[in-house]
Amino acid sequence: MKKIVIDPITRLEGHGKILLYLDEAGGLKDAVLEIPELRGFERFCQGRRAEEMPQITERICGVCPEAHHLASAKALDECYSAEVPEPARLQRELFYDAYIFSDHLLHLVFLGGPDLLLPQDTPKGQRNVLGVLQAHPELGKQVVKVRARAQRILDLIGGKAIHPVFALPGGVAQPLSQEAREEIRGHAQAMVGLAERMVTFFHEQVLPDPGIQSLLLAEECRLPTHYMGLVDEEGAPNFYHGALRIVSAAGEEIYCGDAREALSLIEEHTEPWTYVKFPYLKEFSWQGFSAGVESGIYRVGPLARINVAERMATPLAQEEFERFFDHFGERPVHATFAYHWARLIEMVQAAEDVARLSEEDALTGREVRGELSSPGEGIGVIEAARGTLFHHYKLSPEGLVEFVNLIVATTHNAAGIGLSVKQMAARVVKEGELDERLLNRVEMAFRAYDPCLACATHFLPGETPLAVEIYDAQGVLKQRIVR
Amino acid sequence: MPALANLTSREELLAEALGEGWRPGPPPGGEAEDAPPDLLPKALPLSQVIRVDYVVPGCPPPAPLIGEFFNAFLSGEMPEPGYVFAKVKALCEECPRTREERVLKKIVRPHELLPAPEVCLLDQGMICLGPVTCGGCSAACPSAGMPCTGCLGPTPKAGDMGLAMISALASLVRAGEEGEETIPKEDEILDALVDPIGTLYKFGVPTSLSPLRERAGVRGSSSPYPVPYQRGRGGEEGGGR
Repeated sequence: MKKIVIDPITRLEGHGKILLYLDEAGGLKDAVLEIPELRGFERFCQGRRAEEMPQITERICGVCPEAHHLASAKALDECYSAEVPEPARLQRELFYDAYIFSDHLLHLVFLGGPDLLLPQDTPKGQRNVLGVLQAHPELGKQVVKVRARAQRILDLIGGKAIHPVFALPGGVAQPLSQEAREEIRGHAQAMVGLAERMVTFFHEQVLPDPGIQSLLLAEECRLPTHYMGLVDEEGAPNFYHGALRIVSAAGEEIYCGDAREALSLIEEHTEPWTYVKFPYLKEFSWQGFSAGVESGIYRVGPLARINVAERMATPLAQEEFERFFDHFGERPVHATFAYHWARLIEMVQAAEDVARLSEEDALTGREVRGELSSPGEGIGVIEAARGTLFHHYKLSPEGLVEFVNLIVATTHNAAGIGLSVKQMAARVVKEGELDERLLNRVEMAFRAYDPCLACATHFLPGETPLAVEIYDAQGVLKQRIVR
Repeated sequence: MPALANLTSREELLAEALGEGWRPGPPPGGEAEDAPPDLLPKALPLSQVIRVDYVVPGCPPPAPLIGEFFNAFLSGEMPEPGYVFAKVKALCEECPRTREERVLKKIVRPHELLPAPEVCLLDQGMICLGPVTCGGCSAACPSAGMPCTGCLGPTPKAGDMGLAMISALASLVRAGEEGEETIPKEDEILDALVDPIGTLYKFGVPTSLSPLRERAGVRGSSSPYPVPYQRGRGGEEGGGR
């Protein structure tokens, strides 16, 4: 039997390994995505001070610390039965929209960008962020500048852009100054401007590309699953809070209600060959790695949020939302590569929301701490850039952590990602002699999810060059392709 | 920070995360070598695994310190190996808050108090590690109303961050007039420091002094860095080591 190992996979957060097993005829027999590391946050957070949790758990990840920071704060709000005062909520929400904008932009241009913005099968030397900047220098410059401005907002509110420190149970560290608000207003306008430009660019230069069209519409890139995401009262996606909605692969509502209670709808399946767990909807029970209406496998993240939404919360995002569903003519959209387009729609909403929130009077209010009761149990649910994130804690009477469970975006998607990788591997293997370019397409299936494996197993991030080894049926190394 | 895992065993870590009895194994139809690797027994400091030429500390390292590193690198004027790109002086030196009392009358946790904007957080009773932590971040956390948690590592003078801070707290704590009879009251104040290891060694479990070091399986030099600590760029005075 032939075996192909892609290790490590590149342009994602964390470390992953893809194993492709071929049959004697050279066809694909099986494909698995293996996550080889674990750090054990669930255990070593026990005994820590509760108010430290936003600053400990955010170190799960260097890309989305903001998501863990606020999911943790929301869990603590509930542990202390605290009402978060309006000014603190606005600070958190504005901060969070700036993060979603910045994180989505990072993926659209830097991580997923080379798959999306460069012609298919671009030589490996140019298939990176520098290649993107070379191909689109004007847009590239604007992206770098505006992303820095979004990061500046995180810095102004969070205290630090990476690993922020501002969130506490029941509120935030301190009031926001009028001066900071003025500065944020300016940044927000630049963010909306770039979001609009990215939409135009997408429709003029990305969508018409036949390679992209094929990835969006091909049957073997379609994965029918259920979808999960937070929505506001009007049914628009909300990243910070809302009701959790689960829609079936056939488009029917499975659940819509308190996000914290939804945790009881999920069970986790483990496999010996990976440190990541596989959550599934309990009512369907675990039926192995298969998609469809009968399976319990669901997906989260940009595509899932767009699929569970009735509309978007802001005007420009709404326009793009309508174009999206017109293009596919179905709902939910099951095309895995539509994750990229959904990410763009959300980036527009996040930019518009930052602009809206920066005008709110209460944003600079002095009341930033809610009253705290004696500590107990709490669940915080938030939409991380990559999907729904649950933090569940139990605290001792002294406010020390006794129990921690984290269900992270990429964990929800783990089964879906594995299935998408297998689909793409089958397509690529059919095309004949495997080379580095074809194997990159397997990674593209993976990268559409913008996976964060550091989060999925709460392990240390790392990135090194890719090596693929191909063994013959006797296990002798036949070919080694190094990127 | 992930080295906080050293406070427990890997068996406990695995059981908590994946359930009792979980062991790594290959995928169906795969060979033994396809299984994910076992966890290492302990998290080690980087310098115990590879030779570290230069240290740019922080979690994450502040942009100005990264800038200093690249300026030195690109100008071809790199300092001696072992150099730490941070200040020798403590974070307090660059903190905008003013220290007045220099006395600790109670310990409060960050969520229990909205601190006065310009006053030293330690003065207000928060455990701020500023006095024992390298400068170089412009006191980002105290500026944002939160105590320093020591992510830039100890100053050369402090050496072991937790021990230095315990020593500082012991000299700051004051329950009344000095004397034998106030000692129990001062102990009571210090008892409010819950989870001392997580608080004082959040970033320093594997590099701190024993017994934590022993638990981490680290042997050899007591320095957190592989070669003698060099003078920081930002400090005018020499280090204490």
